[in-house]
Amino acid sequence: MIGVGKVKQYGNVLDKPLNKGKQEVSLSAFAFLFSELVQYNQTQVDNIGELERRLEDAGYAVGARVLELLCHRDKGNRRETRLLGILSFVHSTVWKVLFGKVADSLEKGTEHEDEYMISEKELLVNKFISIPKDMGTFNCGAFVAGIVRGVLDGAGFPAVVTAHFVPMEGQQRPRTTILIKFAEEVLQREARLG
Amino acid sequence: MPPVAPRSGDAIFANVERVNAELFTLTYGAIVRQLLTDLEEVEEVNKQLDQMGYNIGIRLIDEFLAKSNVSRCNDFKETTDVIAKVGFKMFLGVTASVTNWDADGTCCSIVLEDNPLVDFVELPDNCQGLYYCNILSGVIRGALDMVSMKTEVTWLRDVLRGDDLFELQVKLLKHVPEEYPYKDDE
Amino acid sequence: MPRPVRISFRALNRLVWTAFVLLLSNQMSIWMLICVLIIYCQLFSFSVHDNVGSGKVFGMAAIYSLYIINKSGGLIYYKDYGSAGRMDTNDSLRVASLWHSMHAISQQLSPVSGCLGIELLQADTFDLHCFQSLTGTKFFVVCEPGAQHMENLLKFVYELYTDYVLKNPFYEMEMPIRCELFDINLTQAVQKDRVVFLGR
Repeated sequence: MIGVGKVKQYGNVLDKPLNKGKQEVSLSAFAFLFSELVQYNQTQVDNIGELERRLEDAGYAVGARVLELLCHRDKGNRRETRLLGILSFVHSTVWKVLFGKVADSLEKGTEHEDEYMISEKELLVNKFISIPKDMGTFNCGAFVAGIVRGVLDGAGFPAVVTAHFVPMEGQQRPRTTILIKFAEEVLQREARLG
Repeated sequence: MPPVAPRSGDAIFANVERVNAELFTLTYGAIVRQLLTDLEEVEEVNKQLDQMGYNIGIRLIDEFLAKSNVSRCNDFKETTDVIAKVGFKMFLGVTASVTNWDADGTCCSIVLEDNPLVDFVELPDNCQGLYYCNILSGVIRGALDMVSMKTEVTWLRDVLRGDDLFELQVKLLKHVPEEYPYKDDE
Repeated sequence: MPRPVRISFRALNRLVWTAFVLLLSNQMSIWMLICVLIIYCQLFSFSVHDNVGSGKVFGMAAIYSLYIINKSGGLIYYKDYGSAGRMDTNDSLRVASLWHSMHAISQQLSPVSGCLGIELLQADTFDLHCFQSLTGTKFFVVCEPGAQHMENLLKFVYELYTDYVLKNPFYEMEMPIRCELFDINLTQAVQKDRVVFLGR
């Protein structure tokens, strides 16, 4: 029987206390869901570039919410206003909450002033995924790039974020690098702040 | 090799790799958002979510069997029990219970008090017809299909629609026993 | 639960005889008999081709080859670990579909109902261990006679399959497996000393 007349536990989702974020699901559950996200999006596109863009969009939606959630819960409604601050927030706090660990490395690009790289030997979303040869350099990490862009954008640091496989010496598998290229205005503001 | 005893849902969940439920919840939210944008009609989104769940179910069943050591279930009752007690725990970390059996043992309800898919979620006015968790019913249907049970899975209660619990009705349509597919006269 | 059939070559002989008897008593179609005969001959010749020791590459658990067949009998994965006795694609496809039929027939021939099919076939020059998941996918390994812990190895291959094949969005169900990560992890599993599978 449908529970007619039963009252909702909370009249509004906002009245519900935010949980501590300690709940877990199995990695498998996430992996199957993510796999299905990729499969669904494959049916919606004609080329790999479009697939990347759509995965990035999905990630963006996650990133925007993660920023709100973490700033509220973990930082007492404060958010980073400086470039290095927000980068380390992504590399440490966001990564730890979403992927259970701090990212392997955060580096500044050597060739361009506006580029930063977050690298991960084995990105969680890629753990079970083998890219077919005919898909070239496609990387499902586009989803994570989207998350990063969502966080940065929401915090007022617009950037172009992309995911790349980078071969590692002595390693069978390449690592994934999330390349962040900040918008000009961000660097200008940063320079003004000194 | 002696048959290995089936493992409890708690024991499996404690031993598998886990991720923060928020990553899972928000990723699912992103999927639902994409579908609402792509398909526009809420009814179509319900269908697509069910289909996506089905696709997951036909793959996930093997992991379930491999990790749980569950052997062939003798009947539908045993099967639904295993889904509720082991399946939900091992993948989502939540406990489910089975109730409301009909007289001939082909229809029952799986009841969930906690459901990680719906944290942060409230249905807006233009999505009142959405079965937000429809992916779950698809997963169950797909998984059972792979072990020769054709089922129909529908939502009876949904917290997002104002109910106190989540209740999924699982109805066995046909049990195709596994047999050698070729007949002598073929 | 009924025990699956274990079969040796002597038993296989008996199987052929049983098939004859069943045919005579009209319980079995001529087609099934022919199937049994063909399988018998094929497996026999296959065992003759496969030299002992061909799979004895150091470190490997004396495994000659590994097969995965989907529920309709199609070969979706084949890997050989021997230098001699290596099979070409056609032969491996044939062995796969023969085994599929053989496995199914053994279930029907079993005098005890509820038989799940042949689990182990022992020949003079090789053993064949088979594991079938409840979803109908078969994993089987051809190895040195008497090789230990093959059931555990197959179970482990099944787990690798659920991880690196079924969770890969680019894998299409029932189709041949081309997943780099599955290959890498499988190679590691087979190369590891067989002791690895002892405690599992």
